[in-house]
Amino acid sequence: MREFMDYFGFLWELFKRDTKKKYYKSALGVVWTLLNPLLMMLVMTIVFSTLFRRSIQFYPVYYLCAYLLLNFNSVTTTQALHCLSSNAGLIRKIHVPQYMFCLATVGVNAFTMVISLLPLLLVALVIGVPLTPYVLLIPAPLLLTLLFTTGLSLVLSIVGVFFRDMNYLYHIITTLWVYATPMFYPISIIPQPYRFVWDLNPFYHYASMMRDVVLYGVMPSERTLLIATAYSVLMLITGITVFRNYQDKIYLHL
Amino acid sequence: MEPVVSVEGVSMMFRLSRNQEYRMKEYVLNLVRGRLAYQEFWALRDVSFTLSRGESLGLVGVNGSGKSTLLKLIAGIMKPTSGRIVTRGAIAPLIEINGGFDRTLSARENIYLTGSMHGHTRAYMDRCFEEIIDFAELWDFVDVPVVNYSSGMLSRLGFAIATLSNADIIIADEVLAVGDAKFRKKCQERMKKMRENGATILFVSHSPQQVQAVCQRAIWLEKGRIKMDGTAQEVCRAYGKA
Repeated sequence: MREFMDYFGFLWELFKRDTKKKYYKSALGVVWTLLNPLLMMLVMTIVFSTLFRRSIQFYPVYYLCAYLLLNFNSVTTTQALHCLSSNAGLIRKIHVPQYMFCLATVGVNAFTMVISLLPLLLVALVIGVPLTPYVLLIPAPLLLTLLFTTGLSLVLSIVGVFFRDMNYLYHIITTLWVYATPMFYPISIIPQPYRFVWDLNPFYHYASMMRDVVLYGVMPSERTLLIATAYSVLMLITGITVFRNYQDKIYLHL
Repeated sequence: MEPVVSVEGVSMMFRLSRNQEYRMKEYVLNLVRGRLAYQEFWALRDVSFTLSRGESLGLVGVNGSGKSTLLKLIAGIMKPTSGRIVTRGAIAPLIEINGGFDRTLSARENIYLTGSMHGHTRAYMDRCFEEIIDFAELWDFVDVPVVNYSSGMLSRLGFAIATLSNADIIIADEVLAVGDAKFRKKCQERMKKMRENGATILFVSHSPQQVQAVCQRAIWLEKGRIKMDGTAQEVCRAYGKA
């Protein structure tokens, strides 16, 4: 913890560097962050809203609630796979806590996720979703997702060092993950006997929380809250444990 | 007096895998074939010594004798396979000084990033910024991405950043092998000044003359073991004969 505070300035510099690099090459820069979810939402709405018209009201918001969280996780964890090897030059030179590279990656994308709330709320207002005070609870699902993704990123950054070809396999996993989350379809189309698979997916619970507070304007159920928190805490502990056990070997494999 | 650097029975083993890259495909294939063979390579074997405050130690030895590995272990960049290393005070690592810069960023941005890795605050870097550029003689290129820099320019920048603070321990790996004669002299003077301020120096060089110029004491490493430990003059003379 002491070490974390000592190197907080370093984390901040890394965060600034990565943010700058992210928007450096694109002409529209930060506008992409606002536009990307809107365009995705448009496509999905055109394709699927007629299909699920009866079961899903306010389809664009239904979709966006899950998309923001899942997209954050996919992008961050994919980047985490090579966040250590792409900073090999720095790691070879001087002793710094290596998890900082991972945290900077998470931080940059978390920043994007928070900005993406703007288009979500905008769309909700435009299409007339009845927002309630529960909308103020948005930080809860975001925070739980953040913890989960941080844990997973820590694990994957280690995996990425040992297996350089992991990104091909991981791409398939993230795609599968999207389909295994009720993002563009309602959970009701999944037959009851198979529901347990969806229950195992933390993003089903995070998305439910998000929709409860934004779309339905209710308090998330205790069961959802409990499961979601448990997943986040477990993943974070796993991430920290794995990273600690392998961090001394990172250098040898870069 | 308590030693500033103490190296106790340190050994370092590398696993040289036959494959250059680490791929899942190869790992699984080799696992199935039952040969996850590694070649073990001991870069250091049972090395022990201590340095007290203000001492300057040169390491000599041929390529592959373990000099750089030892420096990296002391700098905390790697952890030893066995043994223990204790250091007291702030370390200024001058290792791969022309590497590790982000090529797309300018010198200015790299100075702040690298400075933060050395644990300096932004305010401190603001104060030292001019001093760094002065020393590295890079005023004309402050906001140019370092991808356009020559290796000499990078070395100058790296040296200027790393020697900024009054570190207690300076770990220098072939730093005087870079840059032109004038800059080398400047570096040598700065290291001398840091030593006079009480810093402990660990210095690796291929040139016995430089070791004698910078250090009082020297250690000769051969195949990862200490072959000789004595005054810089004695050791360099013996090393020069071998």
